Amino acid sequence: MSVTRLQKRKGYLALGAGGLVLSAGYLGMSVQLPFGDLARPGASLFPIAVGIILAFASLSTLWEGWRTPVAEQVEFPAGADALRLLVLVGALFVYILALPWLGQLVASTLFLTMLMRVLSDAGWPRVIAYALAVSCILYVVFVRLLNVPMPRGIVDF
Amino acid sequence: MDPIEGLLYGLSLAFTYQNLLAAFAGAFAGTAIGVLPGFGPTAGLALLLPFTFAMGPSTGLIMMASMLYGAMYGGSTTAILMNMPGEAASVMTCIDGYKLTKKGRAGAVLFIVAAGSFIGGTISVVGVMLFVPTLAELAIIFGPGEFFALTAGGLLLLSRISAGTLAAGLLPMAIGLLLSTVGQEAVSGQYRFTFGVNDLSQGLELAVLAVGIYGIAEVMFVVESLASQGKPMRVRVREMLPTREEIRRSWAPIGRGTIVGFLFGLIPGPATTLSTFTAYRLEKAVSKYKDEIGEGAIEGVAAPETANNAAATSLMVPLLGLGIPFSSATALMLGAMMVHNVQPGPLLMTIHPEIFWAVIASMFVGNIMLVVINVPMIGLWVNMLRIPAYILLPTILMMAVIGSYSLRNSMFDVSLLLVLGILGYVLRKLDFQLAPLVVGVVLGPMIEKHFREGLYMSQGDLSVFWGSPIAVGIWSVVFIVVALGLMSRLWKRIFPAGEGEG
Repeated sequence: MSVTRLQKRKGYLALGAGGLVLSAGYLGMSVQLPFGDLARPGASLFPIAVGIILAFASLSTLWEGWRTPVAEQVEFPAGADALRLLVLVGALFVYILALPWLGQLVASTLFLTMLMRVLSDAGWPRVIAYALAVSCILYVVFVRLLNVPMPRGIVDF
Repeated sequence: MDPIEGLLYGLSLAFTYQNLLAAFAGAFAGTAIGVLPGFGPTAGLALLLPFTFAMGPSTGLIMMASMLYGAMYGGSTTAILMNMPGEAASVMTCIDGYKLTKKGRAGAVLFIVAAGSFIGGTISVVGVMLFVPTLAELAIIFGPGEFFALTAGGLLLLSRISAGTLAAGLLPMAIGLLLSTVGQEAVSGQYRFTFGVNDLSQGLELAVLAVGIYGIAEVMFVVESLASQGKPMRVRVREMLPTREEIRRSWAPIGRGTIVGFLFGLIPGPATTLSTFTAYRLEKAVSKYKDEIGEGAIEGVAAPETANNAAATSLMVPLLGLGIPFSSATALMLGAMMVHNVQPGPLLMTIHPEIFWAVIASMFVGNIMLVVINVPMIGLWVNMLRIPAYILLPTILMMAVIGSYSLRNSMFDVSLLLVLGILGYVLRKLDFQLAPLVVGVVLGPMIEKHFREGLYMSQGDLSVFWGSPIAVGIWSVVFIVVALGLMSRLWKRIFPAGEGEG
């Protein structure tokens, strides 16, 4: 597997900073909820406590990131491995967007074809045949037999 | 109902065709998930969870419990045959298992693992059967203060014991708690953090969260390392008989593994994984053949594999007795129970004896299924490893999407899958723990409920949360574990390894 290495501390610092921003926004929204009092606590008391815990956890992440040696690194895929991963995420994103419009059967067949082609060296005819077979089996089992009301889309299957 | 009566009652329920089928399907699906490299039991349970909602509560839980044992066993197959752990609890199995495979003993090792898993799981069920009623009786005297200590303290313990640094457990736990506050709040009906999105008004769907953060993230991990995956060796059924010597040497490790596994299942943390490490270390320390362990000894496989199945079973004690999940797998089971309006905990045996005893009895049935499915069908599982990943992975993704959509017919939930998958991938890459996040989402509403009830009942007196001896005991344990963890880190920093020697 070809890899690219990133400093682990940068990941920790980014996550810690993100967590801190999130906790600030979350706390800001929490204090606008009814507080009540300690004897009759309202809806905001627990979220405020959670917001404080998140802020503390984010600060500890920042602190650990700060203390992590520069030499400590995280491996992410590179080259063809990274491309496969990106295509997977992209294909899933497009599939989710297309599902309500194209419907389960059509969108799934296209999604499977695309992904199978990227994940293998198989030729188009074989990939299309497998994709059709898998999507038809899943359609029959889940939509027809188990009555899962998946989007039907323009093709209206 | 005494345990024997209860068990007989449970067996009469478990031996319905739906429940037997559910146990078989669960053990089968679990073994398949366990066999696939990279897919852990939690990811498998998460993928299965949406489909169990259509079943009755007992049937759904039976299926999930069987799946968990199946995944525990299945994980060992790739560890032994390919030196590739199917899940974290099989890491120790690789060491001796693969060396035994290279010596031509793969079939016998798989047989011993199946026998050990069966024995460990079955004895552990007896422990669960005896332990849960006692725990439930004790828990009936618990008030909100004690339950708050148990849920909040348990979550904190889980975040510390789940390995890694303080932040690696604490940040995911905090994110989990944050996510648990989204949606309509239970006491006053107030909507919180929904941003006007209708799909968020009932909160995040646990199954979607688990499928995204475990299932999708695991597919991403498998895809990135696709090129480096090997092929398994062939194993024939006739090669599966162990020698008399191997059987003789396995008894004691299986016994010790059972005890270690059972005890680990009772405490918060990654019990199945930690129990394998401990059982392996224990064998290295006490076995007559300790010098051979690490070089291909049956003890190094029998003990950890027995321990993880025993732990997978005893994980049910805190869930069924207290209604508190101490692991991500039991958190998902709790989610399944709640969907059916079944509240696990001290009153489960009284209010729903049919569910409690059916689940207990099905654990026995599930363990038998495991042997039936695994020993004669080893060829099938090995062949499963030959299914091309380019067919398997997209199919798993499709099932994740269908399962998530089926819960509320919501495309919003399906969109969340991708976001949560990326979050899970990034967190895992940086060595953050995912279990505290999932358990945090499940325990969050319970912690808030006990917190607010405690304040109501005590008229705002905060000492209600640490005033009783039980609460003091729980918080003391939490404090000691957290303090010990921090002190050991401090010690290592002040006296780095090696400097103190010589």
